[in-house]
Amino acid sequence: MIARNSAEELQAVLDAACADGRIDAGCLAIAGQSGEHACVAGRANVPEDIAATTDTVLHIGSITKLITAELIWRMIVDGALTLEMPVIEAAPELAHIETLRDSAITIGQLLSHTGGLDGDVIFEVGRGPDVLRKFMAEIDEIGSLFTPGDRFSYANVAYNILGRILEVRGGKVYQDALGRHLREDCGLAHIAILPEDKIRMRTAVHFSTIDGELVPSTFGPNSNIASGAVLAMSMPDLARWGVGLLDNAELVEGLTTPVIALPHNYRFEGWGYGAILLDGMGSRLFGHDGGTEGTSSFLRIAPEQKTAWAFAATGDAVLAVYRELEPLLREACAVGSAPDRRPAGEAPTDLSIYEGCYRRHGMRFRITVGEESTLLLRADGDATPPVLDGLVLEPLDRSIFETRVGELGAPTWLSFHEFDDSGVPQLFFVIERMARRTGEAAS
Amino acid sequence: MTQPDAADLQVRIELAAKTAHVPGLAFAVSLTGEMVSAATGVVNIETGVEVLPDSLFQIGSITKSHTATLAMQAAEDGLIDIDAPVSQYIPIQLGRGPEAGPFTARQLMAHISGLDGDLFIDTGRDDDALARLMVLCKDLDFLTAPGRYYSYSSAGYAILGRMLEVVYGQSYEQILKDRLLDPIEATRSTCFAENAAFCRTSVGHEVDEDGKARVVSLTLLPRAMGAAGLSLFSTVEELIAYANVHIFGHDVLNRASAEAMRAVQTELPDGSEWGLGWKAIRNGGTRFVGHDGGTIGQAAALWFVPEHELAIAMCANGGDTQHAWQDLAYPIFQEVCGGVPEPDIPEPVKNVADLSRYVGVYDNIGVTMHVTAESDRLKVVAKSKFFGFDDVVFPLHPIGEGRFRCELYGNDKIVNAFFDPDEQGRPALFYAGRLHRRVDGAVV
Repeated sequence: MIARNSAEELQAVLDAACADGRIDAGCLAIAGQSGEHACVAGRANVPEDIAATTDTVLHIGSITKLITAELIWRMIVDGALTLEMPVIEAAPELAHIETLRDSAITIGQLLSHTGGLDGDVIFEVGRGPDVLRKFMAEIDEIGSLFTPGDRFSYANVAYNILGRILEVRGGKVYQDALGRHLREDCGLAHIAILPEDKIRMRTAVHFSTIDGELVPSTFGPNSNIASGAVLAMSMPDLARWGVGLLDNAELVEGLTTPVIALPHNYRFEGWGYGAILLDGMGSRLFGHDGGTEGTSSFLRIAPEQKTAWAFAATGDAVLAVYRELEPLLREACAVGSAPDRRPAGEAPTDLSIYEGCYRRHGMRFRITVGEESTLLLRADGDATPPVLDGLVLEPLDRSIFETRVGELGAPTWLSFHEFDDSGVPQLFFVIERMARRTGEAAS
Repeated sequence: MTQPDAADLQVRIELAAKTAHVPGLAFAVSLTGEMVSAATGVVNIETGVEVLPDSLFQIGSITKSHTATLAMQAAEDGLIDIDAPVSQYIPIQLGRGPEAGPFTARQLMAHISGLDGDLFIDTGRDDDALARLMVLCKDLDFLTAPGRYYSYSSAGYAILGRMLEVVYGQSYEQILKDRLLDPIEATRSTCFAENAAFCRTSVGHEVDEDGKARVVSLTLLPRAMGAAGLSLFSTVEELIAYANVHIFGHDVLNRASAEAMRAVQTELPDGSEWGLGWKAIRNGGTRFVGHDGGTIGQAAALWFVPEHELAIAMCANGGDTQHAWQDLAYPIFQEVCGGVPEPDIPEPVKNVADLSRYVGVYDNIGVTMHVTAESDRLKVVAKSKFFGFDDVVFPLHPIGEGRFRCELYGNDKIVNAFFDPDEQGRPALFYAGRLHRRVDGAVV
């Protein structure tokens, strides 16, 4: 379906990325009206020497959120839920969660990450089918970052709550509803949700080298199943799912309704009720990204071209590889190039206003002034060693700073918001999540 | 005898797997502590991933010997008394019926507790799976009084596993890892598919008579029966390392305990013996010790002869695994020991006394058996209560008073026996290692 030279170019990028170690295995699939194309390179399991194939399932991480959103939207279309419905009306058993109850957070706010939930609450509650119910019982003290509807802050917990709403309203355990939808409704074969699914397929896994030893990247906790910790799919199946969404205009309309713009993001323009809006709030290219330990994934759906592409890879520099692939994919699928979002504003002269400590659930971000008009970021968890230490942030304008994570990393933007009267920012937006300034010193 | 040549072994396993329509197979032999291993075929016909000697397979009930090893280790450490009532450790009623009574860890290990056993109930994936199963064990029937007859009981091994959990305050799987697998460097072995997914891991296959295989639908069995052997994935190489612990002794199990585990506790109708977690078969002047295991579509065997310091392990994922085992292991056993691990079974007799006393319906938790008489033999229709298995129909040929032999799944040396455990003239049926009580009400 795509030109031969495009196919060869895409294959060459994957082969080069495997050869230079940026990825272990990568698979790319395009599905559209006129057919399908897939290419693959590398090994699904390096120490076990298992080659990746186009049937290999890769963890799709938060792309699962788009599937959860689809299932919610099916209920909305059926009239069983509405966007404006408060969460605790949809699932009264969640009334014990103060933040949901007191701010009357709605289904639409959960779908678009505008509920203000301090949302990276990730912990184990077991392996069984009752994980979402158990998880809900443990999050009654979840915090709030801002007034619901005011801003955006990516919240895994929001999608776990949506998963629980699906269970309560649909009468089926989420893992079963998800499996039935993908396998039976969508007719997809290479879907792995539970560990027993993963042992019967080629499942791409990543190992990190720590002190000279290979350490497997563990699967995410089942408690985060609805936000994307466990689902793995083959890329042809993911692309088929993506293009299949387009058969239902009402669903697409719902998922892509522009809710909140994020102009300070390197990668995309904003968020709809479930979908990431890629090329501007009015544009139609939408999708989602995903990341689990060791795997990153990307899904793009182009309604006008009736085409979807999916890419996932294991390894340390997947984002950088995807950024090489995306222009080729846009060309191959006749989707225009991505707009340049680089801000036109001037870089600030006084960087001391950014200095300070910013926090969200479980994480602390300390900003200090570095050398040559840069900021330095150190990030650590309440219970974890520093995850980022001395990351250099270069100002692009008053709000947006650019950085690169790791030697092979792709550029990423971080931003500051809610500047007070003396020009000091109160919010720090890092990896799609807000953190609020505290009174603590940064050093 | 010297160790088999690796190249020669490779040729032999490829032929044996092909002949027996086994999709994937791994095999290992160890003589005087030196191991040779080989593998052939695929772990999964759908993925086409090849089997290597360190690939994981489900080893089924071989795990019972691991559980018994852990119990003996706990006894060495003074944490349990294998001759004390189990109720001392698990203070709830386990089992019911007129013949209910106190039973011990020793009886559980030797399958002589009298408890019915094929309990395959899913109590979830969480760490409390085994504790939850115990609550259900209160409804388990005693087929006979404790200590009286052998009847293979997987539920008994689940109870043994729970005893270990109570004593150590950890999950069975964690105890197995910390106290046995890690110390013997069997680090690929795991009870969890979450871990197995990082290795080449075999799935079971159903193979038809033409050798056409398909992957079974159920690739993982309930966690609660892990201590009885539904969960553990291992490799032939790690099984050999484990067998060598039993042959040579190790920090995890001293030689006296190892010898106690393989000493005879009870004799079966086919003349074989059961120890504490191990079966033993005498043949050609040699006593073979080992265990077989199976899950859905997978089969494994681990047998060893301590005096020859010989151990053989095979894991296979479908097809006629019994014949593959005989093709591969028996020539080695024959050469080293002058015999094979198979009991001598008498040939059928022609003129037999009245068979009508055996006609009836027999039952236990796993199977209902309908027995009818046909001139010089009995006919059995066995209806499994689990996993939607098809009925199995087979003849029983008399070989002596109350004893019959039959052919099942390619093995023609299975012995069934009838006897009277309930002292009311109603024979029970010993079949496939389990007792079945007469339930049709016809007092003979």
